[in-house]
Amino acid sequence: MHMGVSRCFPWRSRTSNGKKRDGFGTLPDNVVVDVLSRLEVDQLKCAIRVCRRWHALIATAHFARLHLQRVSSVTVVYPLCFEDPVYYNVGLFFIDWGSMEKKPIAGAKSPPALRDITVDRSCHLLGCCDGLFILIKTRTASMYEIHNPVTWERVPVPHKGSICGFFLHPLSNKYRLLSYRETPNGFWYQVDGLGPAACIDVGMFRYRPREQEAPSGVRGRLHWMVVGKEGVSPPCSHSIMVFSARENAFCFMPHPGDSCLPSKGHSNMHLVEMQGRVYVYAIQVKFMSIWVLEDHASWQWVKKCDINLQWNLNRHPVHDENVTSYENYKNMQLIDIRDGELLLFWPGRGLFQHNLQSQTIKRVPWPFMDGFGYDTYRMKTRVVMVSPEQDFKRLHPSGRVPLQGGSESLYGVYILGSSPEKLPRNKPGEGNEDNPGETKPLGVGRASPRAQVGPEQVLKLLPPE
Amino acid sequence: MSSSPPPSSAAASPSCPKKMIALRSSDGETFEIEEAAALQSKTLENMIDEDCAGTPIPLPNVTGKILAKVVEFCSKHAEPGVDDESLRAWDAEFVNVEQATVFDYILAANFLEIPTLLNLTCNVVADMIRGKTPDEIRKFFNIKSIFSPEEEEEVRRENHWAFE
Repeated sequence: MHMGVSRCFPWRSRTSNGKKRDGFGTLPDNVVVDVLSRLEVDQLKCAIRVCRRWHALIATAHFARLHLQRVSSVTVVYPLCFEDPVYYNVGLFFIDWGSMEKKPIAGAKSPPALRDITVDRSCHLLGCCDGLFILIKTRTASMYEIHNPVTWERVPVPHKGSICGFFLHPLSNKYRLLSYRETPNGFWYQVDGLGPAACIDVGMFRYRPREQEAPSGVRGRLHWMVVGKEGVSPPCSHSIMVFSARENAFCFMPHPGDSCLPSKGHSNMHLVEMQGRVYVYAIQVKFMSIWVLEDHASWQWVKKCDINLQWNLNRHPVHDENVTSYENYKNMQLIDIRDGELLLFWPGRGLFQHNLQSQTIKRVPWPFMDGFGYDTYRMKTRVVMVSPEQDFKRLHPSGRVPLQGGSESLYGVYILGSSPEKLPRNKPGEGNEDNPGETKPLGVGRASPRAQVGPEQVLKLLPPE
Repeated sequence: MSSSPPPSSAAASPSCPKKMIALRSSDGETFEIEEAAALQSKTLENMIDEDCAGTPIPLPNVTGKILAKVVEFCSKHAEPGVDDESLRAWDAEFVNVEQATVFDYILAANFLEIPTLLNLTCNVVADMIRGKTPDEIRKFFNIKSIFSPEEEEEVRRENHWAFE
């Protein structure tokens, strides 16, 4: 005995002319949000215009958070060419590990590819938080800008000091900038928001970040290798500076590994925030040692691997004859780490993928750089983790976000400086075990990718607080 | 007397190898589902805990037609020893239905709190949205857009970015 269909699904009787009904009309808001949060950003641009309901659901900070949680992350590589006295940025590239997700065919995996993203070339990329870039104009020292690579929105955030951190404050859920200014007695640090709101003084310290970068932190803490005034190296015990966003306080910690010779300092050591973890790698002659910070509270580092860099040099000829054998390895950079594969940048030779298990390396083709000449021993890469991976795949080949008719971008989704949302910023037990976790994209270093599958982040910058 | 005690034959209740739960759809049909499969639904899990077993659990929000499929889904996903690949293929077939049915599945999965089914069906709908312009989306889902022309213009303007 069947009851009348209309009693079970009352809306059915409301359908005007017959066959098709508005399926979405039957769904509660939370379900519609669930569906829409799976879309990539450029899809959301369309979705937001479909109807008032979708617009209302998408254009909220809540949706942005949800969306961000689904996002996967990507490492962005940013070569700097030092040929010019004022070095210029040659563009941004993101690393597409897409091949890693495909099922391996007979054990072989294709190497990651690099795809081009372009930002304004007169800017340098310092860091990235939740997919928002923080840029500094090359020729104007204090001109900083926050840039949304998806919507191309830009918000200038002029600062007298040097910005060294761009992070989301866990308690207030607002973005913050950490900056410092050099004074006769040391370096004065302060934290402020993106708008003209008041700054909070953190204090005077003897050291400043060694690299020009603005990390966004791992689990609410930012890390840098530091130097003192005039580039003097601190003792090993104070070589890493850690800033707690929650407490607005610094502490100084030793780097992992053996103590360094006083003469050398820690110049061969580099710290990177990557994939939700903090890594330190050190190049010693022909080896690269990599440590990962396992437990912050106890400052426990675990050696991840030692890589013998003595690869067959003949197979990967250098493009500049002036490079000596030590130079061969000294400036190597750890770019990315994923699934037991490392991505290494070898100045003068290119980008390589190193498999930790099999200890094999493979050259990663980088057509842009190949054309550029690879006189890369003078080039650096900065790696920034940014979510949305798929977004960048959709970028126009020239690197620009496709702006379809009318240059629509996404409306107010990730609202900076809005009132704090109750959404948990960090998942419980957060950080980045396998994949899920926090994205703290990062400046020169790397950053920790955000969780998971799915669509991209949806960001827009509103006028500062 | 050294006979070992007889193997305990479980509790007093008739020992069934698998416990079956009875569900009743909105249109009066009754379905049986194994407990293991029913536990895929958080809603049912709660009801089973409360020991509502015995009488069929009424599900006034789900018709017989859909409930049958949901039972099928849960049973399949509770089956041991199914490899990921074939389960995925099965899932793909399961949602290879008309749009209206997918929405019914979503509603049922939402009501019954079946995360796997909800995830699957939401992805399907998201796939339907992908690649379409707003107009195409409206047509496809028969959504009435009630933006007035002024509102529409405002949305455009809000999202316009000077592309330097």
